[in-house]
Amino acid sequence: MSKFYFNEEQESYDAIVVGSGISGGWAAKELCENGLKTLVLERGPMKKHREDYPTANLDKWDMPNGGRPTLESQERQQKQARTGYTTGFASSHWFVDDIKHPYSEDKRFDWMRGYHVGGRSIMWGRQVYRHSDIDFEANGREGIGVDWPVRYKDIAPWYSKVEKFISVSGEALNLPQLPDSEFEPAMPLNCVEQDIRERVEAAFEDRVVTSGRVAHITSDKKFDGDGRIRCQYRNRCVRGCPFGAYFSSLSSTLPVAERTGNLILRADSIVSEVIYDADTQKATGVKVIDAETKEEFVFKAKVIFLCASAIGSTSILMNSRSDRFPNGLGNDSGQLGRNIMDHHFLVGAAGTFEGYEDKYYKGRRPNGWYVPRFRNIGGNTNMKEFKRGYGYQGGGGRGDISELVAEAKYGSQLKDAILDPGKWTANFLAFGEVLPNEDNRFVLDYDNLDQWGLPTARFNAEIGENEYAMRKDMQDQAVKMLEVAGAKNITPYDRPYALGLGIHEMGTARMGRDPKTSVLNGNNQVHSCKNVYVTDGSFMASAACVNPSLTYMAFTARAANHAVSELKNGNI
Amino acid sequence: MERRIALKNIGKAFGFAVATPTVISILESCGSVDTASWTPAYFSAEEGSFLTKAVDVLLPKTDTPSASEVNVHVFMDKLIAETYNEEAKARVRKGFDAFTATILSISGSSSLSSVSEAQIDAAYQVLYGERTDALDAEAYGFAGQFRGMVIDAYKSTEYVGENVLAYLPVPGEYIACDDLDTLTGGVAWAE
Repeated sequence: MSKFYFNEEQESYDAIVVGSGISGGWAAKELCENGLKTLVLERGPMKKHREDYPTANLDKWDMPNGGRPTLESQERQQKQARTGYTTGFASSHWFVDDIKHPYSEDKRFDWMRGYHVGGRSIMWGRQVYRHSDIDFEANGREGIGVDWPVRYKDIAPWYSKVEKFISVSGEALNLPQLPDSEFEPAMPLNCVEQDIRERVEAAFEDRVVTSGRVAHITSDKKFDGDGRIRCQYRNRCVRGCPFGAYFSSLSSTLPVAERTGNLILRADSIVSEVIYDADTQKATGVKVIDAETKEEFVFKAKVIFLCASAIGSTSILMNSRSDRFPNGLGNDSGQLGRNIMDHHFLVGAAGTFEGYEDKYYKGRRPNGWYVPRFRNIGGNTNMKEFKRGYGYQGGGGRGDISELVAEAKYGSQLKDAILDPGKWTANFLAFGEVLPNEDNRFVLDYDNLDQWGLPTARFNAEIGENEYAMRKDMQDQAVKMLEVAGAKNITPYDRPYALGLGIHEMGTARMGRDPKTSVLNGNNQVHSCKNVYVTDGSFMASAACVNPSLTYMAFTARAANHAVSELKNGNI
Repeated sequence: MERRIALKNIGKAFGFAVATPTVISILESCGSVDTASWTPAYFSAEEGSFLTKAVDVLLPKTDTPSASEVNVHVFMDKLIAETYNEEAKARVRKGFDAFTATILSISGSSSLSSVSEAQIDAAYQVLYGERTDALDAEAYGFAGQFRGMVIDAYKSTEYVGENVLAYLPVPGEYIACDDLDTLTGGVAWAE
């Protein structure tokens, strides 16, 4: 059976996109819409919107053992299970088999992957926030890592373009540290959250509690893609949404790319390296191993987009060794694989709220609240203890029946207790910026090959002093906000966190102005091989404290249009 | 799944929008387990007969079904057999043995198959009451876990999820704040 979808195989292509997740989907859409015959290569199997969401409509009782992880998953997904929420029956099929796809850890690194068409755009958290100039200027101002070669004004129009396509639900706040998006109606805060918001905002001049900004459709407005409609408040997003209510490659960018007639997609295609031609100083194509048959192919193109996720794309560059690039394509700076960042979290505080026993909500809102960063954004917000900042996610809801159960003990009164909606609780869960640090890196381990004969990733990275100092404040301020909000039973927490668990791995092929200290230029081109663009999390020169996918999409759209123009002008 | 489709069709035939509990109890045997001939997968037959009683003393029949009527005991046994690894099974075994030994010792009963629901009730008064040092800490610990498992299993059943809790698989909208009674009549939403 042919593994080429949507169009026939060709002798050569205008563009090759490696990866079909959140970045690859955007590259494909933009390149195809500009008339480029584009081959998308995905290492995992083919998946289709709606028909390949086998668990989307299942209730708990429709799943074996209420959906608990099977013994097989417990055996084969030990690393993926570190999230604690992804390897149950409802979503385990979206996460990799750790035995089939091994990596090693000199220090613990939680690498969560989904190998299939659509990538992690199917299971992502859907929280979308813009970076501001406070973020883009931080490295340069503080002399940490390299200065971003891009400022807010350069990327703002691309944020807008992406947001108008994906739909971003949220509230405009006009904050310098968190620029507003092109908003669709916000998902409202519930009774308790709204009261907490008012109390926190009254007590702290520097804080806002708003609804999370999420890539969901919340009105009857039409959004392009494959029949996308408004959110049904099922909160079963991780399984794939049959309504296409949140943005994913499968529901949105890939169908639009397909419609142009310019998209060719090949699944089960593991890219092992980019082929470099020393004479022209350009890449000519990629080497591919078929994941099932292990046959090897070469596919040729004028321009190549690496969108295989930070570790994936960086691994491909590292493995693309030639006389010109003995340490990996574009690695003159030696920065390839370094500066791994994520967002550190699992720290904050929770509490219970009394006085709302007759109140409830309808619908399972796939979202919570957001407290934008309020540290180190100028004036008296600046801190001596740490650099950069953090935001809070989390939210409030009903459901804690532990006290009622303890009181009821057993018998008929216990039955009443367990049907009760339970106590109101609320949680401020902080997500903080991780600084770029050259010593935080991964390398390719040629002594440990996978079943395709490819070297595997070996991680040696950890958070440092700045992050630990920040975590103290992340916890303290969560407690303070719960106190002013009138919470009872306030429980601060700071659980062990290892890099990667935020599932925001980034920074391993950073962009910068100077080829001596960075891998990519400000247009996401490899400095020394200009027809290779890298537009997933690899390019991030700093992490900011916000969820990164929106920024990947905006930079990808910008880079794709740059590539189209450079091709037209004969520059690449 | 199959059974729900059958129920929905019957609902239509009777002109009900939602199948009533009566209709459901008629159909409960279809696709469910005949408790009388149930062979546990993890527990022994004797332990299985105890489990059936033990879950019902925790969640007895009222105007809603008892735990065993919705096969909570079957669910728990299968869950342990099919999803607990060796280490987790060993922990359950240790806890369950301490729990049952304590119940037998309080009740004065000689075996798990002969212990009555009234005797289990008497033991629960101790195990779910004020802690005393006179009893095995392991038994207390497991009693709490056991109750959690039973509650979880009960709320995970199709009958309770769709008929006892407020069931709305596709809410279609989000109402952020309204009266509990208006929204669900006072019960929790099914997950």
